[in-house]
Amino acid sequence: MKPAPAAPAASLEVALADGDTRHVSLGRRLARVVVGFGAAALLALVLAPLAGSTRVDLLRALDPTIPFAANVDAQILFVARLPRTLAAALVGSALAASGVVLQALLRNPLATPFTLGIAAGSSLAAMLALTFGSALTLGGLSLVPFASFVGSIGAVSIVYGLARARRYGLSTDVLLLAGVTLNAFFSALVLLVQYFADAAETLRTVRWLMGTLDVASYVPILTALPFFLAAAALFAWIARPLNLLALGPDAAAARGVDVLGAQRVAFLSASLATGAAVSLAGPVGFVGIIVPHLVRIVVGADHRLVLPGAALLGAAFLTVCDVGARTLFAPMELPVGIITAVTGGPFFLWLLVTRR
Amino acid sequence: MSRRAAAIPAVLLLAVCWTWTALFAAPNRIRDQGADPPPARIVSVVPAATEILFAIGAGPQVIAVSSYDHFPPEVERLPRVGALVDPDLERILALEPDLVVAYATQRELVEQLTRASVDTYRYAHGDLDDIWSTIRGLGRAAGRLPQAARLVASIEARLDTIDRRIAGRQRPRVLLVFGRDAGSLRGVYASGGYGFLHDMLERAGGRNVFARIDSERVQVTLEEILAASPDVIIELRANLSADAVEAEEEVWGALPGLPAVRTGRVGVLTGEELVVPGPRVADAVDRLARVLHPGAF
Amino acid sequence: MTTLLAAAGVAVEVAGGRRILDGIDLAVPPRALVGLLGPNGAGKTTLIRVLGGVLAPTSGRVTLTSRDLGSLGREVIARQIALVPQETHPAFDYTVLEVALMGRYPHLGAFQIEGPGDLAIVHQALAATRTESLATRAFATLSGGEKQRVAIASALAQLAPGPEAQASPHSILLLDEPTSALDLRAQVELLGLLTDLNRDLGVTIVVSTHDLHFAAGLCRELVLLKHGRILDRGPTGDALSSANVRRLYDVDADVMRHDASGQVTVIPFGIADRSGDRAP
Repeated sequence: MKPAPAAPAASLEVALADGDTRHVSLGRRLARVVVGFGAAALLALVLAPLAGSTRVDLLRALDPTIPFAANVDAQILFVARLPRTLAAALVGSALAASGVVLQALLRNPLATPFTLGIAAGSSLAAMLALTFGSALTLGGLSLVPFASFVGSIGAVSIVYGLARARRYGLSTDVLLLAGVTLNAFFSALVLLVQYFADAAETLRTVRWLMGTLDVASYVPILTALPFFLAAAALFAWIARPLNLLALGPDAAAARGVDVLGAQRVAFLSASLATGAAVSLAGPVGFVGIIVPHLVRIVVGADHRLVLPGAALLGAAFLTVCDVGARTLFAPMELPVGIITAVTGGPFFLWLLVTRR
Repeated sequence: MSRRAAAIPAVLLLAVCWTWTALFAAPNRIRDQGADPPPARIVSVVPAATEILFAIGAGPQVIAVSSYDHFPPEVERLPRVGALVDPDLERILALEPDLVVAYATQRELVEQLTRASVDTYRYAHGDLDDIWSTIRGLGRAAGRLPQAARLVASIEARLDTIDRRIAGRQRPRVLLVFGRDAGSLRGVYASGGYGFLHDMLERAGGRNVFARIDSERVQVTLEEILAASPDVIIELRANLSADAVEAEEEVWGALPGLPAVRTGRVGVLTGEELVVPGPRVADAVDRLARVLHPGAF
Repeated sequence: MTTLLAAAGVAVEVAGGRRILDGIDLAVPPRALVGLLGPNGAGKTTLIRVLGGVLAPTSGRVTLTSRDLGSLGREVIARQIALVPQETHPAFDYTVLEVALMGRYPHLGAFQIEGPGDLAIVHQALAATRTESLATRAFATLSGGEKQRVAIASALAQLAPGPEAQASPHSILLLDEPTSALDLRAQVELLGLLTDLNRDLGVTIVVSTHDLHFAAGLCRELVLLKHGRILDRGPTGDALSSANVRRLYDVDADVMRHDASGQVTVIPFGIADRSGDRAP
């Protein structure tokens, strides 16, 4: 190859046919994405605890001289609202990022975090815990989050095992089919368990299946946090290989990507994040497909931009949805999955219709 | 998500079916006490109705009960025929009953029994006043109307006694919870301003903090509980061990600002009489009243 | 060095025992322009994938400058051998520049971002394939020929040395059925491009194709494949004979040479009575 010309300045400018110029520095674009979506997330996180169905005197709530036990405003802020806000941010972030990763892994923009059977596995396990173990606790904590996490990992393990049964690599077609089949199968089992449950348990499970951020304390968040962090580290690592995987496994391998390794990491990280999210809030739908698409429209297809953007926008989106869930029909709580469906569904349809 | 998409046609289908059966389902066949002999073989799918039947002296006529029946103790040796969602029609018919007490919402079951020429009494779940009409209705159907009237009178008398005891006392604001996740304050279901739980609470001298909600059950957020600031928190459970009761009471410690938690007036009450709208409702109100107004007893 | 890329006794077997490739011995010298010619199902794509290190052979080995491909790291191989598949269909809406930039993957660390040097290389590669004006276009909106050229640009960017790496004079470009989606003009353009790359930049090129005329026009030597085995090999003029055409395609044809351009033309005139080689 001929030697490169004298190195240009920090950012390269591309001359377009019509004479316009545009910076293509990825570092700069990444900074813009993080700042832009990060601002949205920060705004949501700061304003959400201030919104609610009751009036809270912020000054009184933050007054350190009033003992906590006597400070109702502080209790509303720190016990009733803040855990939910944090959970919403984590769950929204995890589901959106998982959506991006699974869409890249399956090379299908319609994939969701629940495509590979995670929702079904966790729902079945949670259902079993609710129906047959509703009085049991694990170290003082309800069984349901543990059960749902175990269920989701169990389901994806089955799917992964099926997909690896083929000789070469990880067949994404088998992944998809196995996931869809498992979803259907476990959903049928859920209905079966529901049949044996009494009316109260059934109502409780139906509510859980819609997704709710009613975490009530920081403990479930802290329990799920290690999984979120592990998934986040893996997401950071997998972002660039995802771009190449999107070209196809051969094209990626030819460019030096460890395709099987990358697929495994993608699979594992998305499963961890989604499993932890579902254990906190149940299977909240639409976040994992709406947010990735929105972000791609704004930043393009490079996963090094889409992943952080989706993580931040997902946090903002679900936090706002949760405010709606706890204020629209106060004092009753609307499952947050209804809000995401009602806002996300029509928006997504509009997206499909107006885009080329 | 495919279940959600299927919900709309399913709801429409249910609406059509409901209208159809409402138009064509047979009404309660009220037995004329003089003309017909009282039923000798009664099957009850409704635990509350079972208790009422035994309380009005029709116990010996009861030949089978639901899966959830536990009171009075005599029912433990009786065969079971399912419950609200899974009544076993074949079993019921095999027992050759002449009266079946079923839920009003079990329309298919009622229709099938009517076609099989079996008399049915349709039980409707409601508030406290509905319990009296249910007792009388069952009394008529089982041929024990005088006993039913006496039962109603005795329960009302007991309730009046309780009224007198707690008269004039300040009525505390109460959060009445009948369900939540074990070990945490997730998914709290409280009684709204309608239904027999609400009525029992009011008769026991309490004020329901969510009386303004015209619904039997409300899933409330923590924020609303904090805002409601109840003086007393009462949780009703069918059964729970003593250790579990203590553990569940301690869970409310997460909200130390509530007057109920501060003054230690958090109670988990267990016992089936608390959740079955039947003849033991006076016992339930009595227990509630003792918790709310200990000084009056 | 006389051999840059070699295959020795390569065989590829799939589940069920069927051999897609059998007994493949191949030696590609530097700056060669080799065509793997054969009918559909001959195993050409499989052989290209094996040569590119994407598919491990069931038996035999492939060596790159005498080192076994299996012992080399993926990124090491990728820096020297680039594979342009038959079609490129990104699952998402990447721009031409982004697709071309993906070729720089083997030169970057795990979290390293493409620097100005990488961008310069990519722009050079786009210029070399005359696709620089398409840089900001969405890849999916390109024509088949344009997509092909961008894929080649990505491959060129992949082969270009990184700022720290030693310059590698022995880059290998493998192309799998490059003309399948191209119209005549695009084919001619591709032919010119590959010839230029080989002549001016010294890139070793191996092309798999079933298109006789493309192979004849581009390649200096041919390896004829049928049913997973090598039928014949040699300089194009010798290998592309009537007898070989009949053996390869079961077609009777006249092979003629246009003296002025040196272009070889194959004119088929009928189906052969019996095939030269039976299927194994």
